[in-house]
Amino acid sequence: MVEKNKNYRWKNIFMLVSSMRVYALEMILTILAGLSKHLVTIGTSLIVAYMVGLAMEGQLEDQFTSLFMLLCLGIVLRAVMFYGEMWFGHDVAYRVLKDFRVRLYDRIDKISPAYLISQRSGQIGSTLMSDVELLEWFLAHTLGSYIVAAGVTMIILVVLVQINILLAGLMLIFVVLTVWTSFFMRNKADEQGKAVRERLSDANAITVEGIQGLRELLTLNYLEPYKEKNKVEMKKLYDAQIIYGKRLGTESMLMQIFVGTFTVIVMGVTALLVQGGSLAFSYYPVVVMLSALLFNPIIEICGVSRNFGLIFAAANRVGQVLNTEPMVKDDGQTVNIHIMECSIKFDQVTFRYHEDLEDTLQGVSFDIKEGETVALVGPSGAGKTTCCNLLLRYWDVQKGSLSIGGIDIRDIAQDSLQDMVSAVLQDVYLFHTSVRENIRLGKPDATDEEIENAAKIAYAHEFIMGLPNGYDTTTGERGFRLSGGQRQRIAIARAVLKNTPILILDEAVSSLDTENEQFIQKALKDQAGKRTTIVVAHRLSTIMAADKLVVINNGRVVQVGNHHELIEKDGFYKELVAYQFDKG
Amino acid sequence: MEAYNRLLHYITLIRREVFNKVMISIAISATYIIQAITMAAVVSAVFIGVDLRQILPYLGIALLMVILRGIFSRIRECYSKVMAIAVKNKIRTMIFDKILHLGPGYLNDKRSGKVQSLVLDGIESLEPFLIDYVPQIISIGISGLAIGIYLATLDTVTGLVIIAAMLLCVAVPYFTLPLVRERFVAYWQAYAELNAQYVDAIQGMTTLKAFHASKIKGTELEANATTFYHEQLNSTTFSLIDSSLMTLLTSIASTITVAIAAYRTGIGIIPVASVSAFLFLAVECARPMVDLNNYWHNSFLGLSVAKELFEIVDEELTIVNIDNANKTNLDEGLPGIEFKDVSFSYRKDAQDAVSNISFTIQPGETVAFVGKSGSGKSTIANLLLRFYDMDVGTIKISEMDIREYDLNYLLRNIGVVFQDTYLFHGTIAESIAMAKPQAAEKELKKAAQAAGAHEFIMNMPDGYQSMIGERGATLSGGECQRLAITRAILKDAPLLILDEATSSVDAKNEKLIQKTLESLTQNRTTIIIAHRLSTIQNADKIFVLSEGRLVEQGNHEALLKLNGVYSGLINAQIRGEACG
Repeated sequence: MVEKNKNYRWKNIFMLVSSMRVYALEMILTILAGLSKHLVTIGTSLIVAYMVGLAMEGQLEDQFTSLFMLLCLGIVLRAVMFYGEMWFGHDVAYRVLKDFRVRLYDRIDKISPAYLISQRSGQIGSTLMSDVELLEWFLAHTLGSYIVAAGVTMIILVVLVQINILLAGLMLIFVVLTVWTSFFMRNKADEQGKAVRERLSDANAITVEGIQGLRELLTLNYLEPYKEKNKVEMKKLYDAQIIYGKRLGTESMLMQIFVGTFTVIVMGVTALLVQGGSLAFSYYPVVVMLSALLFNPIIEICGVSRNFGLIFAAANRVGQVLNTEPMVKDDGQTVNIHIMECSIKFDQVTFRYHEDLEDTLQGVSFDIKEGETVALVGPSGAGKTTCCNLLLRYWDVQKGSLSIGGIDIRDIAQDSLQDMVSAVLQDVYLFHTSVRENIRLGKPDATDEEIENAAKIAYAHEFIMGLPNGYDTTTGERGFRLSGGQRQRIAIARAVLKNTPILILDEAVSSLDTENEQFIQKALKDQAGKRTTIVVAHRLSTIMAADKLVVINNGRVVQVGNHHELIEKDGFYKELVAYQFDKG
Repeated sequence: MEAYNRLLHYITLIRREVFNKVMISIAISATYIIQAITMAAVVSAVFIGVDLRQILPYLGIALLMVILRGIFSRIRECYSKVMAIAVKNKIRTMIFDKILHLGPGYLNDKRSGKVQSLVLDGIESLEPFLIDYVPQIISIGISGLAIGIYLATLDTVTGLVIIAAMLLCVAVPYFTLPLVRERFVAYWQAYAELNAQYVDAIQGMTTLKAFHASKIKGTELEANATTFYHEQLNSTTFSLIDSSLMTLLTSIASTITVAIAAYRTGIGIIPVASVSAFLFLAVECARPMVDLNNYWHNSFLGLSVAKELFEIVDEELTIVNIDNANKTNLDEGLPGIEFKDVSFSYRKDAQDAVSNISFTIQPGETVAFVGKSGSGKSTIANLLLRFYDMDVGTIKISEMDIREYDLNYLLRNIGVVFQDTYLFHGTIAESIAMAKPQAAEKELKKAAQAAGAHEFIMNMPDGYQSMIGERGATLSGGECQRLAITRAILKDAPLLILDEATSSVDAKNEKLIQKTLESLTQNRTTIIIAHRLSTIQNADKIFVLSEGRLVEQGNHEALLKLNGVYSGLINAQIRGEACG
């Protein structure tokens, strides 16, 4: 356990320190400023103590002016150095925080959406924001402070050795004791820190979900129970915080006692020395002052070390995301998508989402020729959406292969693949930005005119113009203010604008009324050229418009053919359609 | 400053805790002061050259003070946590409840990421101000002044300089606050904005990947993060000026004053025996001021957040219970509904979502609303659920104005299946049981069977105990809907609203659900909002909406004869089903 814990800390320290390497020069400035600040602080106090000693002996008058000037210079310098240390230290820290956020996003981009399924977006949000923010403690207040504290302690020890070797020895003992206080409960600190951060992210998730699912809470009369649930989560967080706080209290008690005891002992010992005549009296206040001051930098670092539990827990959470390996490896070749033949072949594809789950697809094989429109047909949960997910390479097939134009998609660079395939998914997500930017998503360099054309093709132009600010209207998070059909039409406009040679429409028109759907189907076909289209749909009109149907049930392909062929045969498709007509 | 004063108001809520903390802090200061006095006495004694055994009792007292201080510090640390939690819990519960009560209408304009950072990180950032700064300033006022006055009795000039430096130290922040606060408000806004951007991007990650836009979004986020970095540094640059000034003042209090005292000793004004008292006590004056400086520094963020928190507290609840709201009118019989000249728009500057709509639904009827997307169908449901109140006109349920009902009572009597269902993180069983927390497991299964959900639930790895992700990430659209229907069945309310409920379920399952719904609609007043006209032909009445107006009403046959909007929709549908 201890061994493991050591690794845990070193691993995180290594990650944090190496993230600062780029800003080494500024770090050095921080450390120099910090070192000067402490030395000047100690220096001014010693001057004052020396002045008091001289005054008591009645020898101050001749030296007063020069000492006083020195003192004034010292306190101004102290303020300046304080400013410098803090400014440079924070600048480095904030830069590193920014770097971490950028790296986290890149990594999440690579490991999504497989990773996201097991996470709650509130939790990831808290990793990206507050966990990263917490690292500021380490970056701005720890590494530099440690080096400064070590330096200052060394210098004082050397000075003390000159005055009296016994005092220096005593000091060393107490320094070690004080530093030890923030480490002896290290394991507890790490555990408790982890608990606090985890509770915090759970509490985060509860809040986000409460806000996003408010409608459901209201209509299910679940508001009060949910508030209770929220309270329980909060209570857990508070309990974790209190346990953490109690340990902090014990640590600070021990630290206080060590530092204080040392000062008292030094007082006694030095009094002996003065009386014995081995030390001039005017140095007596100086040595006593020194004994109190020399712990300042150490107290400062102990202050941060007390929070190591939290800091390393946060660092660990950040590290975990950064170290998650993507499910799909991006080591394929870049291909020229303009000359690629966009036929698709599923060859004996077998796939499951998780080891513990059953196969979602079992030996699925079918071909789609370039320019064909193929509908995947089957009951909910048959594996239609999974086929789309595999083609988008959100996951990799476990057995068999999936190829485009004869090339296994694992051998195609992700960038090329994503330029080749776009998708309108079941769950339309609109970003918190204008309608225009939402449509522009797939083609950042599109002109406003192109965007409007795409919207017209998707039959979205008319209702967009009816919005308060037309194309510049901001869509709420998840597009709350638009109806399901309107959201789908914006999503289709995106796809029209992107105009990739392969298009996936996964339940893309389910919320549209039939009339609109007809128009859009036709418009997509007109625009298509030789576009290869995969459609997942339940609606007969959509299915019938396809060149070919692939009927899937329980993860297997049961029938392939066009509507007219399949409707003639007694089979699964006929049954499926029978239900559809029957209910009319 | 207004937010500052209002925050102080919250202090009065916890005045007992603040009082206790101040007392502990004063006790700690007392140990410092006694220790300083004994140490000064030791220095004087050594100067006079007394027998060293005589200073031992002094050292003993000093050691005792050190140990006492250690114990007090531990008490203070633990007490601070308890106190912080009490305060934060009070504020957080208040804000979260308020947000929930403000309802979907309020949240429509807000981003959940922003609200989240306010409720969690925002309130967390109030801690330094409420828990540390305020008690500290009170205890400094008491213990600092005591030391100052004691020193002033030893030497008036030096004592007054110390008092002046202390007062300045307390006052400086109030002069620099306007300078610093603006930067911190900007900093906080950048923080909340960045948080919202990340939550947005992560929730939309699948979409981003489907359009090869995740890298572009990444660049955008990098720009946001850089903006945030600049705001951070900007606020630090300014707040450090403040801190440096205070550092200067504490240096003056702890060193310059002692130098002055030494000088005055040298020229014979202060007795030699007293000067060491200045040496040790001036440091004690400065020590709490250094802490105060740190606490103040940490309070900035909280002070900037406070304004936003108060905005929520001040936000008026538009949809509220009237006094003596009715809680019985729906208990007997089935509800009938009447809309009279109802108009409503979601925002002042937007077109009316519904305008001048009037209709009646008899108790027990099943009615359907049809129309193109955006014609105002979902708005009818939103108004009935009182997510919003209409701008003009009246809505009556069972002949009583909807605004006269108790809100909870009203919602308890309406079952809803939304077109996009939000599923909370938890097990399937928990998710279903939300509709009826006291339901037995058997009841849950029965409801799931009725909704055609039992089969797919049993196919999941842990059956009813399987976890579903945020927004039901591992369920298909049809499965989510069936869970929503299960909940509606379990809730068993006399008024049922089905909002495009069957649009993404395959034909076989739709048929199953259709059957269930038909039995559900028996003995209920049901409102169906659907595009699939085939599902609603059996409705008692069909209302046809177009651009927010009610254009036709009647049953299927009557509407077909009209040869108007409805028959147009039907024709399009038939064309769709027949030839594609």
